[in-house]
Amino acid sequence: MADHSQESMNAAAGIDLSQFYQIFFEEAGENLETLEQKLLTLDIDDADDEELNAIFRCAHSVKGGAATFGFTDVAELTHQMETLLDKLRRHELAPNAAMVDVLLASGDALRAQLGRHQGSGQAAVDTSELLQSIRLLVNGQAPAAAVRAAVTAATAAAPQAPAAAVSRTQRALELTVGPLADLSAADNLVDLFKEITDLGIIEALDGGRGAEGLRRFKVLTTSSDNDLLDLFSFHIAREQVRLAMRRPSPHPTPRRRRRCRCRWRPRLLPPRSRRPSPRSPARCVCRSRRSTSSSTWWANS
Amino acid sequence: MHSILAVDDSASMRQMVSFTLKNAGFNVVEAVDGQDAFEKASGRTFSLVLTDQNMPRLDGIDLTKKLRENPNFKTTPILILTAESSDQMKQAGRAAGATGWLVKPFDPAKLVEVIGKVIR
Repeated sequence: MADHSQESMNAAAGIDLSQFYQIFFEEAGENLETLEQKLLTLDIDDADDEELNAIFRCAHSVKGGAATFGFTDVAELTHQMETLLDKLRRHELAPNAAMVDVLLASGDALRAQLGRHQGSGQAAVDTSELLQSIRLLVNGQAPAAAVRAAVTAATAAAPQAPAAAVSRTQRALELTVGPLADLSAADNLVDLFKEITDLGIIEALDGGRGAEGLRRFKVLTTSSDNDLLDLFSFHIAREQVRLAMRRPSPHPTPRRRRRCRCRWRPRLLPPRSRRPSPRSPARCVCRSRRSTSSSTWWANS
Repeated sequence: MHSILAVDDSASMRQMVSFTLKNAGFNVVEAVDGQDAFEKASGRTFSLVLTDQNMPRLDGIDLTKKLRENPNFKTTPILILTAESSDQMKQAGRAAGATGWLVKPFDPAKLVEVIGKVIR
């Protein structure tokens, strides 16, 4: 960051921009997290306009801040992402799995770039292949091999997880809960996903309204059925929960995760390279369960 | 003292703009998006509105349109400060009633200079 300060002072005509770096880094991290989650849940066959706009805003916001604060490498990559996303939100291009893969890989590369600006000591991230792939996609001429090569290169350049890291595949599940006397009881499961951000993503189906005592949800997760059922059983009787595979995720992404070594049951934890968000549990679910009452821990406070 | 309504969904940009304007002697009210700005503008006046374009709930152009319907903001200068630089968007901003369009990244000193001219 030191090499950056003089440049920032000049750009700001006397205002030291470095005082805003930390909040920019935090904000950019949150935007990248949102971007990744929305890309993973994007239905490429029937992409929702608001979702595409929200994804665009994430890249756009990071670009605006990066350009203002002088992080040119971050601004360059987000600018290319933004160009592609702008064409998607304007329906000038239709989303496909290759685009999602490149955008996810770009998100990883951005994290590495931001980490470097925060003094992680990593070497500069080579995003030339990613940038070229995005340009090709923007022009509607991306050969699959080029995209794969770019994604592989970006994955290799991104911060590596510890040796014990595991690679898990994202699964799309349909969760049916019921029959319930009180349909709102199923909202406790939604709260679980809010509290344990690494658990995955849950979205209510049927507009969030149940029918005949049943509530349905779409779940994207890397956790096993047993792990999910264990957690859900705190709120809903196990026999009232059914999990079924939805169609396979069109773009499984290698995830860098580490495992808790607790005796109760190993759980996936966020990568060490990421600062936990305020809502993210700082420790494994099982430890929290042992040390706090369930009403305290699971309350969506 | 002139009051400025500064609107941006990015906390870092909002803080930076706010810091710059306060440093230049303006009173600043911050809003986190267009809808928040519209609510904060209700029942009062500002010397100038400085708004981002791409924001959730209500973007800068739609905020401009809504503010122009409010008699208190018929002639208030509204500047859009955004990373969007397409002519199409600028034209939409002008049609909505925006006074000016500033592109990020920006020089804080230049921003203060422009605001000084517009307010006068």
